Amino acid sequence: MRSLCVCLILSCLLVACQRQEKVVYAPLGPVPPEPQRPGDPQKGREALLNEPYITCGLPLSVYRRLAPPVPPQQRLPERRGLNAQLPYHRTHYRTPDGVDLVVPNCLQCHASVINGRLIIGLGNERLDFTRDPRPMLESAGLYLSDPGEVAHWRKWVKILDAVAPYLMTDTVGVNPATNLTLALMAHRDPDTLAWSDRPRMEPPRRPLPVSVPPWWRLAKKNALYYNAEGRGDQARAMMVGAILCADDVATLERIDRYAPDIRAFFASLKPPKFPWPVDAELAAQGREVFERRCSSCHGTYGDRPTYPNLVVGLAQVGTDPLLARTATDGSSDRFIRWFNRSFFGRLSRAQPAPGYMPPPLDGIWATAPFLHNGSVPTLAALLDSSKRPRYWRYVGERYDSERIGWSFESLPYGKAGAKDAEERRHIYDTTLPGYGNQGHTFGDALSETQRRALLEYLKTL
Amino acid sequence: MKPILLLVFLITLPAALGYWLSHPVPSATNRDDRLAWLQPEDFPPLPPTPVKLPRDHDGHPRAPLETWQLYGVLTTRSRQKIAFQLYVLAIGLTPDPLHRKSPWAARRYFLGYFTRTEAAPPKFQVSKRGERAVLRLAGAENGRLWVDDWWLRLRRDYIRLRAGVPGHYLELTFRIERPPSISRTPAALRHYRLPLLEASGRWDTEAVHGFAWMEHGWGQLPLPGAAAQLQRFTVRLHDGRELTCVEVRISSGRPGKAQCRLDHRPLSQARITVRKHWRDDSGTRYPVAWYLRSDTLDLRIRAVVPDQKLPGPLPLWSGWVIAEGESGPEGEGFVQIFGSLED
Repeated sequence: MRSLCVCLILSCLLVACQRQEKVVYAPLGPVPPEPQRPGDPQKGREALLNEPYITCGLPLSVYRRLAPPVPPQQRLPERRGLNAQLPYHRTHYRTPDGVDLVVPNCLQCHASVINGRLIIGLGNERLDFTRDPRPMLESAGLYLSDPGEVAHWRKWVKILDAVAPYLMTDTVGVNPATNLTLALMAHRDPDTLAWSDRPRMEPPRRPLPVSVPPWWRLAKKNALYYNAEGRGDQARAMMVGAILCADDVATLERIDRYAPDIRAFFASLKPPKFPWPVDAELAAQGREVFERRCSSCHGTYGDRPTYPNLVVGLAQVGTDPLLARTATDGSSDRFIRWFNRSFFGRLSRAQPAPGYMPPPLDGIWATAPFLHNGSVPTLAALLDSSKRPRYWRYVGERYDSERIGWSFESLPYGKAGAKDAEERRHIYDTTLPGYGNQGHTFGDALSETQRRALLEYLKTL
Repeated sequence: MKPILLLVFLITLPAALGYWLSHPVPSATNRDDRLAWLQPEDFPPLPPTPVKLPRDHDGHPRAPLETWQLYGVLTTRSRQKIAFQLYVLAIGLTPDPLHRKSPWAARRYFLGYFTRTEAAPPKFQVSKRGERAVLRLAGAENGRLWVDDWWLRLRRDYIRLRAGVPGHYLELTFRIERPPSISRTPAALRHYRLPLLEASGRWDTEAVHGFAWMEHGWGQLPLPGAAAQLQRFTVRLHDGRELTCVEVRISSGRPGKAQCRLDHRPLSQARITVRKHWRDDSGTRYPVAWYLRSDTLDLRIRAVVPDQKLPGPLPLWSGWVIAEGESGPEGEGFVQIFGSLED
């Protein structure tokens, strides 16, 4: 009888331990502010450009042999040491065992060139994640013989081998950052960050398209990401990318020492000024339209700006629902639990809402393509849904200063009609799940004159 | 006395270098330290000019390493099949242009291998040439590549070859009828291939004809002793289509990611599995039989002769292979395996 009682008690304890914490989603409506750790923007910029917060990559010796010469416009002279010789999107890291690596950094996705100017903080919407990165990385092994370098290269190969299937998008320009993070969570223990070759939980197989938001929005937003799931301390939440390589919490703690400085730098960034002429009179008319029709969600601009920090429901905004739905239908709960249980959850938390946050529109002219999934190539098409192309692809590298967006062409066919795989990679097909360009049709009710004025005003933000 | 010593040194240096390059000493690590003096990273970046022919048939002295490969399968008048390969490697001795006026001053060393493979009875023969690029002993310029008495004449629409051993030379003319295939490579590398050349000529006094491929690469080519192994398949199918595959393996127990093309179109879901290995005298294993499986093509590929390893410091197995399908032979070509993996 006594042993039966012990068994029952142990069973109850086991069940209690295994019971998963209930995931609570955030409601629609206002997102309240939360305290942020203070930071020094200058130190943050310095850390962002020089500190190796990603700690795996290619050995410097092979990088030097294979990488193309760095064009002068890709070097930032303020960078320290070897970093000054590397392109802005790569950082030098000397490992504790003395191997020099070249590692990726945030600017790979968060810096972009428009009209010949490098803009730090602007999402790079032209990156190609459609190709399998593994053959090229594995080929680097043909150039390596030093045992220390080989060991670090193998680690990098191991990680990319595990996450690459979840990383590859089917369209050039689409960013897979969300899926990359989920795939990494699947391979790491939430408490220790120890790597597991077999995923502990299955990541979503197909990356949902996400446009990379500009960093300067951070100054106004009370929650990170399109569905406002990044709550609490933003510095802690933003450094989740470090789990690409960090094998222990101590590594994260080192990065966390300067993470609030980096967040302060992001919040100090000013959006770039529109580099082409603006019709000030027309823009003034557009401001009236904006404040009447748009500011309740997107805020006001000028000397005394406001921003409402709202999450708007899917029925109201009408844009592609898949990203918000998959975060709040239970299918992503395991990742929310992982985050909230991990080092990141100590100060921040994942709490998605079933809708989207209308973003602050500072510097919106530079942030094409539009909507959270980058499905609308120009601002002109965003304001007039009849001009949104069903199938489109980028043409060249020119930024269209009239329609506001990267030059593109509409196509009469989607991916299914592409003549080969190469063409298919470049077609943005809005009929695919998650790629829809519907919704946010508030501009349709405006007259053509009002739309032209509004477009002109948006150039000035 | 000193001039005599200098003369002896100058005469023996090329021979010593050739010997040293062609006689590897087993080392405790994967690295071949005898090649440590090669400093490819000291060479300047390649100019960002696209490959253009026939200009780029010539040598590129700014590149640390450069290779020319010409390989094919020939049929004699008596219906005997013979495979041949000419492999020329140019090694940069210095990244800088030469300022010394000495006629002995060399910027590059040329190493040539010529192979002949017969199926019945199985036979693989290799001969070598090694010369510094001085006094016209070796070079690659003005549409001509030569090492000692071996040479290639490279023109826009044809190639001529003469190589072999004294008394047994192969002399061939190749018609270039298809456009070159220029590889997508890192900026530090250039590579092109001339697919399916028609070949005709003589081996000794016997008329031969057949087909061949020519490849030329330069820049930061990999050095021996690396941590990965590269397998390259080039096969002509009997229906005239051309199959090419590249696969990098990083461990012997794990297949790599094969990237295959059939007449330049990607072959979907291609997987290469090794069926059989062969060990050389040092115990190093090389694959010599494979399965190639894909959505549209399944082949068994096997070496005509297992021992087709080139001697010397390059861990390079390069040989004639037969491709077989469900109903028998479906083609033939070559496989090159660069590097070796520990068991």
